[in-house]
Amino acid sequence: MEKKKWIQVMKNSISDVFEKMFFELVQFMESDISVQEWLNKPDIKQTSILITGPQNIQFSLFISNDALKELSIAFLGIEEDQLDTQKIDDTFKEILNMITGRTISQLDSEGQFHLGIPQIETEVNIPQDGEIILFETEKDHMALCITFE
Amino acid sequence: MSFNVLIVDDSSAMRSIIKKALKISGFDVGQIFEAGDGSEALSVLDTSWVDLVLTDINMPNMNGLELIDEMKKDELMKEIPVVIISTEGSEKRIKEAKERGVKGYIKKPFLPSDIKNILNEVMGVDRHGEEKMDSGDEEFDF
Repeated sequence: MEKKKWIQVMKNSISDVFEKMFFELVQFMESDISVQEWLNKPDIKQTSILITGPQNIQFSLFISNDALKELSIAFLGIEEDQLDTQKIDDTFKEILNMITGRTISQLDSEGQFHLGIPQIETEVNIPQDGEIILFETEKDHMALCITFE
Repeated sequence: MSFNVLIVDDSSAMRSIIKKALKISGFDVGQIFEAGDGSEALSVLDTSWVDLVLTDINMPNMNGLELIDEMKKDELMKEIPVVIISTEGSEKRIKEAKERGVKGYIKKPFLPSDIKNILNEVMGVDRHGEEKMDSGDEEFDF
């Protein structure tokens, strides 16, 4: 399947998830800068999910901890003092899960791909050979990396 | 009439969202139970009265489809309607779920109104909140 098609559907999924679950409009950026430059924050977090099937594909989402806190508060409908790391991580993983799940549903009608379980990465590791989607919401800059293995 | 609902999802964030969506939707919810995977769900079903199960598919230990298979082996549990709430929405997955007797399929991300419409249909409740008289073994399109 064409990389270009994956990226286009992925962008639609990012917009759909942020609009439906967070009421946030997403704007995509065309830029040659790196994820690190784009996010420009010291506290970036990464969650990844592996899709296995005719081709293995890894998706990684990068969001700053500050933006994640705000997203978690909005997503869970709780106050800041009720937030903990578990809730933030769960929200983060669920965002990636919804984006990738929706993408697969659109592209894989025969169910050849299997969606893994999202994991929080202990260290941020931006794949060098991945396709990067840079985008922003009202909260912050964010990035998604797709690596075709 | 209110319905006791069991929410099965490995993400506590998603369980909270489904709970919130259920309350906002106006669907007549009684008690809400939660489980983090299929095995936990079976323990809840063993000890509590549940009218409806909402389950994710992709979970560690015991996934949603395995949970449905286990429920089918039990005389009481096999009568409980199951609705899938999942990011996995390929035609193949939906067909697999349908073959297992799943009553509805809600794709994430969803709106509270999606939940209400599908659950009312599954539980045989009309849009005014009244239970339909002939809601037995209907075939649902999803």
